[in-house]
Amino acid sequence: DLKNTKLIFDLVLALSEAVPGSIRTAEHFVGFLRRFLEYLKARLRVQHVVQESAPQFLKDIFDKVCIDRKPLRFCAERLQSLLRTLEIADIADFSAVTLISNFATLVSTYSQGFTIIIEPFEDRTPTIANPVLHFSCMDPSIAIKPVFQRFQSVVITSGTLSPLDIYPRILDFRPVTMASFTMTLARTCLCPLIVGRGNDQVALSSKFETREDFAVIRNYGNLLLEMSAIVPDGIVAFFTSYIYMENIVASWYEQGILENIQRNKLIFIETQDAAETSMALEKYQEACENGRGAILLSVARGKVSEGIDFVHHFGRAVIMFGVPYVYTQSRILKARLDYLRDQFQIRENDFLTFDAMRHAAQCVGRAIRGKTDYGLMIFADKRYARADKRGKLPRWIQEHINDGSLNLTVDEAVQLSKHFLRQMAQPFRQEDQLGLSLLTLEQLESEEMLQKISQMAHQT
Amino acid sequence: MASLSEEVLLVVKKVRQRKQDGTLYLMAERIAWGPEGKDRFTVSHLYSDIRCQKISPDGKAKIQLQLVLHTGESTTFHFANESTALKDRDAAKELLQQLLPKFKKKANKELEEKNRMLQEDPVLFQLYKDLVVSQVISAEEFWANRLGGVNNAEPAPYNNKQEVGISGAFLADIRPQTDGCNGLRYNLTADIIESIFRTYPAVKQKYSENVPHNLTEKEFWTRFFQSHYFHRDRINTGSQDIFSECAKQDEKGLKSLVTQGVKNPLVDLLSLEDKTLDEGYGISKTLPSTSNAIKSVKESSNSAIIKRFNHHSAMVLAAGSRKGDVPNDQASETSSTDGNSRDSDLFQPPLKKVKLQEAIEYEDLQRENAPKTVALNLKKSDRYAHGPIPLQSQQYTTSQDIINSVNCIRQEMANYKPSLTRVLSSTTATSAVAALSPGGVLMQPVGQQSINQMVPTDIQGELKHLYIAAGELLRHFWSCFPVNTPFLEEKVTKMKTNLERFQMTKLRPFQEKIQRQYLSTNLTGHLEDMFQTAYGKFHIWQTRRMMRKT
Repeated sequence: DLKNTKLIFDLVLALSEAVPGSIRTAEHFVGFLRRFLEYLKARLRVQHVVQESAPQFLKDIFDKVCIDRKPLRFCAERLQSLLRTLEIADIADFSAVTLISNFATLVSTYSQGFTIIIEPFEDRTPTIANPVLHFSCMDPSIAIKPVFQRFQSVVITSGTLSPLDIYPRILDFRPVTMASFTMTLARTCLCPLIVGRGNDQVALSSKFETREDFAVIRNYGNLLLEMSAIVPDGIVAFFTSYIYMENIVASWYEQGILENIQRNKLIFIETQDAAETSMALEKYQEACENGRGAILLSVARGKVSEGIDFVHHFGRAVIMFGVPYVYTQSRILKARLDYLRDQFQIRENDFLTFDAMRHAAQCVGRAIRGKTDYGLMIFADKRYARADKRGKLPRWIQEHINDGSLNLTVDEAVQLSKHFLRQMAQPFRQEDQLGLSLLTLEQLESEEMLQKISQMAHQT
Repeated sequence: MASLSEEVLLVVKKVRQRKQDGTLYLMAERIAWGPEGKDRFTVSHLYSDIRCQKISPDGKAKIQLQLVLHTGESTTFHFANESTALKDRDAAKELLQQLLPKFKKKANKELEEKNRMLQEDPVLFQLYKDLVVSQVISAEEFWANRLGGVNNAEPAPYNNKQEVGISGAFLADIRPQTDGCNGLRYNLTADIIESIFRTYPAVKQKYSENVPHNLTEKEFWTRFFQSHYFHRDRINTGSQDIFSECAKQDEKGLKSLVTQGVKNPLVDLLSLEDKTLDEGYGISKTLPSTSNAIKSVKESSNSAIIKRFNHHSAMVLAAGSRKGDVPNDQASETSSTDGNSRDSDLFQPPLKKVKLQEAIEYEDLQRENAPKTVALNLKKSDRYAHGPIPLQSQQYTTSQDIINSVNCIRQEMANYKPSLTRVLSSTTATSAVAALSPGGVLMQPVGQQSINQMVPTDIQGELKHLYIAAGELLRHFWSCFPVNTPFLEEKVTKMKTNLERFQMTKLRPFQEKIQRQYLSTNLTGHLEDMFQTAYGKFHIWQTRRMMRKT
């Protein structure tokens, strides 16, 4: 995507300096790149994990191979002009070199906000040498800066932007106005339930300590089984990670739960292969359409949870198994958390919870895409009941969680769900919505409606 | 009497038929009964004519055997030999049981089909009764056009039954049970077998190849359950397993399903993925868990389970929407055995457009497309029965006049003072009102009272049947024109005679009947007209033919 590159280089050219003499000629430049490449190769031959900031990295380069910061900055631009001069038709052949030159430019341009992590091997396979150099951006404000600079008005809007105040801090901008709107509903079309216990009173959670617990897995299975019996058409279930989903599916298979579920609906499972998942998705939709009903098991932060809508009968219930915390052992994540703590005084726990709840909200929000749509939202983890987590859900979901549905057993959740579904199955005509969620032109232009809108906008 | 060449298989003495003593003979091709002392057979039926046999229940005193023929007639034999009656009857029954199936000809199927059609469709049955039983047209003519379906390969219009779908969990019902001594018992029913065959055509193929030549059915299924094919986590498929091919076929099927891609662009994940600028050098895009070298056995079996679930669900879905088991449908576009049940690719671009369109548009926000129509409300429908009234010079009143007159009347009504001296007495008033209400003396039927109130329902029913039967005959008659083959010439003449016969035998008696009931309305006028038109047409055609010949 060339536009992106252009935005970054606009920054560089803003310095309005000429290309340094050391890389002006083509042979010099190529020799320069070679030196840089050898340096990188040498850095990758480490026995232990190394983490350093960009300035440290640059200092080390200068010490080892006498490469200065300034020519590094112009690497990317110089390479582009060289490729243009040579009239290279297929730029894809040179993607690796382009990558190196982009890296060189970035590491020398930004003194803050990036981190370099060199891992000699993958954690799961310590005996196989597989060194990787990660250059990651920890500061999201750098990424969005070009947008703010280029456009006069920027509107950031989403259904899952809670809590609202964290965004200006992380993205480093001062909002002219911040508003949070709830949904105007003619009928309560969502039913969020927090299921914290199984019927045997065992607490349900995807916490690491209880993940392998037989009773927890069985209770999760029971929840899905009961739901599959009462919810019409399609159900989508999200797990916190792919490995977790695999393990649970295997356990359910052994316990015979999957077979019982299959009596009610067909089962489709997201895999790590995008094409296969697309096929499963299409079949899932087909099954929802023709009356068989289907269940889709997928993963939070996966391709399905971020791109696919499950409108109407494609998603009448969404079940979130556990709290989707990101994999916390990743070094990159740790670096980012440290950065956030140091720069923005955001506590590690707060950020992780915020991130987890954002993804949970995004997952359950897949089911409701319109004002006549309706769906059950089942949060299957006892930790959702705690105020610090519940409070991070978007307001339009929080509004409909009543205190009686904070720690339900599976049976209780089933009862409430049945009641809700029957209510929703009543006819809902256009007349019922007029004035509330559907406005005619006259109603829209009426004084009281305009007043109402400005009132709602000021309730943040 | 029986010809000498006929082989007699069984002779039963003391068998009564219609209260007459006699002997029952079962021959090679027919069953016959002759009375005591006589030489001839009074009753003789070919086995091919017999539809079925029935026996009296065991508790009854009379031991009887009944033969039901295809034509519906039945003959009853009473076995009267005190000591051996039951044995005789059973012997006769056994022999018949063996012989009858041999003689079931294909023609019986037709008869059964005809029977079934008549039973299922009461209108057809009535038509049959009206036309064939009363000898207006012959049975062959009646069935000529209707039985086309039996001989075609198209069972669809006559197949009124819906197919039973496949449960998603049919394999679950075969959960093994330990039978006490280290073995496992699997319960297979015919339903489950059918489900397996419909969902996995590869297994069906293996079955047809191997049973009964190589393996018995039991062996086949035992091997099936033992094979890793059945167990979801199949990773090691031994090559001696006959089902390893099925497994490979399934893999291939799944791959082809995946590579075919999806029609709905909103579900196509490949096009929804973020296009990153630079992913990285040397880092494979797919996560390392797809490389089998590093995966542990457990992990690969887990992902095998998952893959199998997707495949199984896709196959069940496809099997359910496949239209019946038509063996020569392999190349059909609408069904395929790898799990795809979609229409052919010809429809791809419009579907994408439709999906995108659906996603963008909101029903509620569309303009009201059709202008609001006003329902037609006719108050005086008589006026539409007459033609336009010629414009006469009329006095037109202006609307102002009308308004004035209305105001005048209103005023008068407001100022009305009843002068009670000039009022009728109440009795006179009520009798006048009674005379003027509907049904009163002064109220002659002004409009037509509707016919179906005047004519009794049985007459209506008969008339309906007459119409249906006449319609059938007239349809046959009119379909002969233009008459360009000798067959049609014959047919048209025949139909004319049929029509005349129908008129004679059915219409006239009906007309006399209604005349007798003093129904003044002309119920059969239209029918008569139709017949007359037909006769007229026939006459014209005949004269033309005469002229051409001369």
